[in-house]
Amino acid sequence: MTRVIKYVLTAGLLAISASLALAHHGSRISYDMSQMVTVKGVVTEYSWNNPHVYFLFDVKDETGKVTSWAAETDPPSTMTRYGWSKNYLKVGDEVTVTVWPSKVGAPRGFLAKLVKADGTVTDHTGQLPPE
Amino acid sequence: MTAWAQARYDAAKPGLGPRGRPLGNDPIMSCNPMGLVRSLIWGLYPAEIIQTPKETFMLFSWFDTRRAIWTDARKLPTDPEPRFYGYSIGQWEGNTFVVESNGFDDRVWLDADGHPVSQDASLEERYRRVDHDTIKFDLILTDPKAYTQPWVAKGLTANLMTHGLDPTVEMREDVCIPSVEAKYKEEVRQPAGEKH
Repeated sequence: MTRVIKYVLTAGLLAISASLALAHHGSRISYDMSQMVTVKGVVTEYSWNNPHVYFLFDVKDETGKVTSWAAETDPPSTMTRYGWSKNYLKVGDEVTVTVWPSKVGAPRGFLAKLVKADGTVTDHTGQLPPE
Repeated sequence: MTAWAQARYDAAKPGLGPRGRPLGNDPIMSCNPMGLVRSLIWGLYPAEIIQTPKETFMLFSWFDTRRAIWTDARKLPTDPEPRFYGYSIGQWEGNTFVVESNGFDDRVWLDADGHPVSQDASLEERYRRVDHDTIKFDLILTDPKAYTQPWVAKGLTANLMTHGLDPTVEMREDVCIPSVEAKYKEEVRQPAGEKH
């Protein structure tokens, strides 16, 4: 799906790389692309909006303490190609979520893999090169 | 880069690339206009082109932006009002559609790395349809207030809403909504990027 753009910069003034132009703006840099974390939870909010599709979900640990997590992914134009829509998730859905986690340890991540209770899988684990 | 441009470049805090840090001040992170050059080289959102006898329109999916190119033989304005997408005229040179623009608003970034553009800049775009589904283009930006020589990007591929010219594929309404962006920043971007 990634479109490759070749640049010939004769003046050498701008160093734009294809990955720079294509990458998710401003957020992916916050995530540790060298490791993944998997958590299970229940969706509390689903935002099908530009430029960041994301969802919040509550994760309960063994002591019963609930943490609100969030996973973000590509914009709707891209996610549509993976079969996502405004109805792909709804509040109350049980989800197993694998993310590249926040570098600062926050319960936030960039979506690598999502498994819904009905078995539907979105797997992007092989798609994103570390930045 | 001139001193004027260097100061702007140093003030830019991009979220991507070698200078990228979490958060930052990229204009598009608060739904501010992307501007012409960045829209043309942005790979994530596609464009459509509509030709009429007097004007050619480029419709960028991102921000639902319309960019007009006059093809009625008018000249560029000599003292243009700044525009985020410039003032553009176009003409055919054989099979190449040549677009000249001026009147750029200097609040935009040229790229995700935060390179500036001044109101004195002029841009030439040269479009060629190299096969049925592909338009290639060159960009030549001349901006003596910002750069000591023109920058030239050749052989870029236009990210058109073609998908093989599949007529069933529709361009989305990819509006950037400030209130949604603010909520996203509060709920995701800020917690993910900041130490507490």
